[in-house]
Amino acid sequence: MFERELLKGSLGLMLMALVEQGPMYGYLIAKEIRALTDDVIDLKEGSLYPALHRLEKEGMIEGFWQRREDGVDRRYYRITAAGQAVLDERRAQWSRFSAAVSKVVSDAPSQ
Amino acid sequence: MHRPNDSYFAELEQELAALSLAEREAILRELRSHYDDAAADPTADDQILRLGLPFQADQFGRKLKRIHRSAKREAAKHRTMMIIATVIASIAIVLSFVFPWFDGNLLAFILGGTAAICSILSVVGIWLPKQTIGQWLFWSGSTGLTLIGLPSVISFSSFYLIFGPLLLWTGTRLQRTY
Repeated sequence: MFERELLKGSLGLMLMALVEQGPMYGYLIAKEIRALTDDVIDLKEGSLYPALHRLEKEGMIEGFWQRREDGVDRRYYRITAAGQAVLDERRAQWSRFSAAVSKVVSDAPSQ
Repeated sequence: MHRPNDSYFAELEQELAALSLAEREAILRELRSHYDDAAADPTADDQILRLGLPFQADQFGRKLKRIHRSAKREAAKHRTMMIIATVIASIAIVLSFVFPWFDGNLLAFILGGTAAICSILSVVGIWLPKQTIGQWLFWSGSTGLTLIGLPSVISFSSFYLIFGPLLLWTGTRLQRTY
């Protein structure tokens, strides 16, 4: 299990990166994150849905309801043009940042 | 069978409690769809399926209902206070126009006019969608009305001394529900 703050900092980036591939709904997003991270990140609904709504409020993603075959509604999310621009920028930042942190954490000589 | 513990619900409750009523409504609708998906997913593992189990659904439902009920109570209370404050301010507006005519001197008209402006500011403040500016307008208006009450006693009427503090009192109650 990760520190709450550690996950919070990168959650928005992960969600935007996922819905960039096409419209996705909450359950699928959580499942994808679990699968892609080999069950390391198990997103709780209490964190997932407020985070999606925050991104929607910021205009990064947009949500829309669609009726399933069984008649139940499902809310899908897709990335917006503004979100795409922010994602491209944050993705580049993240690569540089994570590589830099890894270097310090992994290569730092232990006392 | 693994069951989500209290900390799971506490975390969910905490996250949802921090949201507005409209956001919470939207998320609750999505959560219902989420559990339907989990229950219908043949590849879902135990950790996912547990959320669809009657025990969890029941426990989860009760927790959410509690949050929901208290949020609705808060919203109703807030709305009632807004209506009461509006009624008080509206009476003050009408009386501000009527009372100076009884006295007829210039001071009474100046005080009455200022009181009317203060009361209008209060009403605008109550219903303004931008909460911070709304609160500021409301407090300025109701405080102004209270202050006008002091010189108006010697001029023509003490009614502002009643309506000003009454509006301020309503504002204090309203403040608690903001």
